Amino acid sequence: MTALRILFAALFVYAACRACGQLLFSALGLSFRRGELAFLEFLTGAALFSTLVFCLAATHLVYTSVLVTAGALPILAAYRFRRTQPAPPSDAPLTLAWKLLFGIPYLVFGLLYLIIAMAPETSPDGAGYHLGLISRYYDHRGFYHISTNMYAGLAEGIEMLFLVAFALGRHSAAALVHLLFLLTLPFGMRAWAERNAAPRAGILGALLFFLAPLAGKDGTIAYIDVATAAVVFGAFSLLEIWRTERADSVLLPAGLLAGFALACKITAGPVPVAAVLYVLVVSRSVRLAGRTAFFAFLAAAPWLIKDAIQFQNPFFPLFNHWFPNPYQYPMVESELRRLMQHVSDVPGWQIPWQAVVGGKLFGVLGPVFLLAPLALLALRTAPGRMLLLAFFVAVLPFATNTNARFLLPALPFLALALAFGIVGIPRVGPALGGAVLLLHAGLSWPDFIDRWSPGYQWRIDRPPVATALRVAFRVVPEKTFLNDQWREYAPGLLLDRFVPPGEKVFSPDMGQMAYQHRDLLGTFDSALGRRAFLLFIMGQAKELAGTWHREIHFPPVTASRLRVATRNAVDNDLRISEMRFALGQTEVVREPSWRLSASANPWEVPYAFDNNPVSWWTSGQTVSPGLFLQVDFGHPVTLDRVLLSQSVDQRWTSLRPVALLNGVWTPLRSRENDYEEPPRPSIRMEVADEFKHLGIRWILIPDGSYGANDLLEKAPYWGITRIAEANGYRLWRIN
Amino acid sequence: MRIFLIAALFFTAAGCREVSFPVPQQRSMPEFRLRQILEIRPESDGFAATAQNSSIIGGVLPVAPGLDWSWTTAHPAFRFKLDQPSGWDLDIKLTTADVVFDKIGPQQLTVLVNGTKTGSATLDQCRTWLLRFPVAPALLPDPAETRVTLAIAPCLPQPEGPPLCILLHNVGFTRPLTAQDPGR
Repeated sequence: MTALRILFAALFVYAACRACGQLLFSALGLSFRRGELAFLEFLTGAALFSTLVFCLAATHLVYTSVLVTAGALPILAAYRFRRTQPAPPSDAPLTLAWKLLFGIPYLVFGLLYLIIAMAPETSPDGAGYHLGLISRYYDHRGFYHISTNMYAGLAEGIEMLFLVAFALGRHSAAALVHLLFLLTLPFGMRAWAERNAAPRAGILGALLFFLAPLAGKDGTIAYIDVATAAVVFGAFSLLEIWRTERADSVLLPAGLLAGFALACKITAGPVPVAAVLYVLVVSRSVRLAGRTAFFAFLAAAPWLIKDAIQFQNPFFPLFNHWFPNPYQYPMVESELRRLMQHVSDVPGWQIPWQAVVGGKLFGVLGPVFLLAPLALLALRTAPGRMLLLAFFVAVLPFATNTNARFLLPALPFLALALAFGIVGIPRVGPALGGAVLLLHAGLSWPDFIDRWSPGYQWRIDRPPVATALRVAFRVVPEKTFLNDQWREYAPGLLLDRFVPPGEKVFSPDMGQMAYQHRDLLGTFDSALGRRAFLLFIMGQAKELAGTWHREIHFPPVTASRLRVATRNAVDNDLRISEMRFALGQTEVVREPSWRLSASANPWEVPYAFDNNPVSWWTSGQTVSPGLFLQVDFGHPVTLDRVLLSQSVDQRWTSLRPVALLNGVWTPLRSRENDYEEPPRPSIRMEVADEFKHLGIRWILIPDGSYGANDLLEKAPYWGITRIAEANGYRLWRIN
Repeated sequence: MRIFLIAALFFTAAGCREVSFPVPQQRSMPEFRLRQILEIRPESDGFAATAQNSSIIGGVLPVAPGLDWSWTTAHPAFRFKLDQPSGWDLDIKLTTADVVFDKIGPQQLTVLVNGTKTGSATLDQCRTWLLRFPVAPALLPDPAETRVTLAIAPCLPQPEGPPLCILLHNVGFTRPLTAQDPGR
């Protein structure tokens, strides 16, 4: 029964998307070939249906009944309308051999993918934030401000479709929705090639993508990369149809899909830009380009607006330097960028090898893609040139994240261009194409991947057929499977059991969001999480636990505003725990009328004036000259000293006082007396107390993780109580 | 075109704000105390042992799942491993239950550390009590082997089983931190 519910949920989403697409095409009077019609209807409808679900989530109408109604209405309308439509034109005929060359691998792998996708979801990101956030939206009946998880700021166009499936069939139904895109895309690729009089290249290209181990793995879990690839290719197809047929009404779905690509994954940002430029160049019409931009904007704008409202940054969690906000430090974003640009520290020249067979970029395309240079042969034909141009646009974001998954949106273009190149070789091309296809199918079968790719790969692990079927159809109960197969499942459940709703849990190493309902704070996914992480380290590391006291002396000055500004660049943020002022031996008492601000991260400035040594203001960005923390006294105050308390690791930053004198910011001649105070005996308890002040009363940490031993061995010094444990994770409550 | 301009303005405005704050409320450090507290919680079904270096010797009835207290008999006893003899207070959190109080009235609690009376309290109301008794260093000749006994009287007799006395939440020792405690 559970399996049927999962299947029904995914099919319902498919039908709703198709129906939305069909209604739009009918309204525009558009007709397509049969193969491309199914593909384009589904994708364009997905953009529309996703936007509709977005509106429901934004208005807190995420009830199963409302979602079902929202899907059923277009289905009924499309059903009623379909009967009056003439059949779309047929596709070009193919020989039986080529039909079998496509049909058999597609069916065999498609069935494998279906069984794998139906297994309970345990993928890192899928069971982490993709479905974790969806399940929370479902619980809250819609969007709410999740300030502790930067992933909540990512555009979630595909996740809106997951949300409908989740409401009906829970986690695996969402993964099945992603599979729908994987199953559909080959038909779109074939249709595009057929339109360009290259049906055999279409079959080869479609299966080069479909059978690739990376596509199979990603497309069978609740990720969004394959779906994004399909949407990008859909936008490309529609633009090509517009170019060849000059039917301007096609620009509406084309623009929608280009914008929806951005709504699916923010790294598809170049797609709408390229689409608009493409229309402009081809048509030389600003009006048509503007129209395309408008439709793209319609699909993407809801997410940008949501982020602008919730995170004060329309592109959150990116571009925090340009759109500073209290929810993520630009420095953390920069750190993540650096990490993602150098996945597994693979040097640039090794990237092609690692993406194809090496696997260090988390996923492999298959050895056949070693023939990728043959794609350049496609330059001989106009469609081939278009493919390579599109590939170039779609592959751009890969430079920002060299995880192999980020190649997927560009892969359909590469696969088709490669196919055009191979099949287009005079005389032997088609036969060679067939051989390459069979070779790719054989090498991509999960049982064979280990033979050509060393070590562990991020790929489908095919269990014995009987076991896979028992898992997929829930003969093995979902909970049993999850308990047996996924270490983080049971620890996550501890949270629902022991942590009261609404409380935050600091968990530096926990990815299980989808099957529990508490608010996790990781080490990098929010400003608060980063603060908690540093606090946690502060309890144990001398560089953070010790205090660096600075006394900055200068000749007495009377000013109404004073800054402490940096003089050098340091590859660290600027942190100040306490900032005080003095004249002679007397401290200038803090007054409620003072106004505190900073050149960066002003939201946390109060932490430098709260009389608590373990809370701090951080610049949230690496130190560059001129960074400052400022006090506006409201009236002239005479001072000759600034007293700063910082962590010992801050001693390398050079600071100087700058006063507003006669309307001009004037650096003051100063000298420093600095000294180090060793960590206080109560440092761990101070940290725990600050945790509570931040609203964090729980820590969930696995044995072996940084700090786990310290908690265990010095629990009385932390003032924490061990509440529960499962699979090597311990749940601590701060007393 | 106008739409794009408005949108661009909206998104740009998202990044343009001047933010300043008043001086926040001044915080004062609480007194941080080292805790060797035995929490009364069930250890079955996922619960961890709730305190290190301590254990129940007897006199506490089994804890029901989901609760953080249990009934005691008239003489619950506990064992603690302390790291030093000086500075400790004995802290007890307990509740006098109305089901007992209504029938037998006020109860007298006597606390013994290593067999020596350390303090007592009259539990004359039906409520949760947070009790603290200073423990003289002389009572802890071997801190690593410290035994605490509570004597409660009267208790509510049961037709079957031991008498019900108080609802105990936790019991243990606390002391202020000293310079000898590990700062890191």
